Amino acid sequence: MQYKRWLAALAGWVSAGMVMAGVAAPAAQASDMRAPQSATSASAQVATEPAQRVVFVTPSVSTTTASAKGTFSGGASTRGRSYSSGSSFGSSGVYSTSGTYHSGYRSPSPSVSRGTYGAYGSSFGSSFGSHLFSFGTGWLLGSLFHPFGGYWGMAYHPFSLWGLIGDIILLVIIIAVVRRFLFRR
Amino acid sequence: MRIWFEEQDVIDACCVFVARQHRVRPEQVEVDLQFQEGSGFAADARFGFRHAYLTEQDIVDAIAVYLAEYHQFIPDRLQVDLQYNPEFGIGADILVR
Repeated sequence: MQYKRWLAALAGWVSAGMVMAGVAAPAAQASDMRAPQSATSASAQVATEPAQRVVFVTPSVSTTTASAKGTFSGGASTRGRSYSSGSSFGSSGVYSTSGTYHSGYRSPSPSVSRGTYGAYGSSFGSSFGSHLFSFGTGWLLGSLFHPFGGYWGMAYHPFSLWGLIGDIILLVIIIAVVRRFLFRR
Repeated sequence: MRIWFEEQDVIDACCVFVARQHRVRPEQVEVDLQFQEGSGFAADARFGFRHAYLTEQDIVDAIAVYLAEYHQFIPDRLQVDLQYNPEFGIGADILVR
């Protein structure tokens, strides 16, 4: 009778552990890379959405310092931008005849070519999923190795020799059942 | 082949670049493009309570990453010329070899 209750409790813990693992698996998959947008034709401008007009706020006489604020458009965006004047001292780039500053053609870093930059995505999903999975695994293992400890049956059951013996007996039973199912002829 | 990036495109590229590096979404990133004679181009990215500073080479890399990820270009074949003009602001002329 007692063993039936133990077995029922063990089954409950195991199923609880399975449920935890089942919850964790989709959460871990939730951090997939965002799908790239469709490629545009070679001659077309790359942006799929027309960029907003830049609003200049009174360019000063010597516009040597400029800044433009913005966020990822991804479609529609509204931002305020401003340009401000600053001090001038030497230039590493080249000014063209039209007054445009050119940095000169530069190649991307080798790390970009190798694709070693990390993929973006929500780190929350994967970390939360892995934490949940770890918690579930720990809970399952802890329950397996000492299933009758902690609070149950309206009382606290600390470590006991009888509990340990019960664990060993349970393990023997589990091994026997598993062997019987897996290696029966 | 040449591709012209307007200021918003450069900002988008920086957002994607920072998002990849710091594992956030591009929509969460706010970029402040800067140009200064002497030091050239730079960008200050803000996402949440964090900041990231992009150098001129980082902006070039960002454009390459953006083109590679969203438009399947090969980064090795790209050469980026960042430009600043008081009329159109900051832009980029990309040469695809």
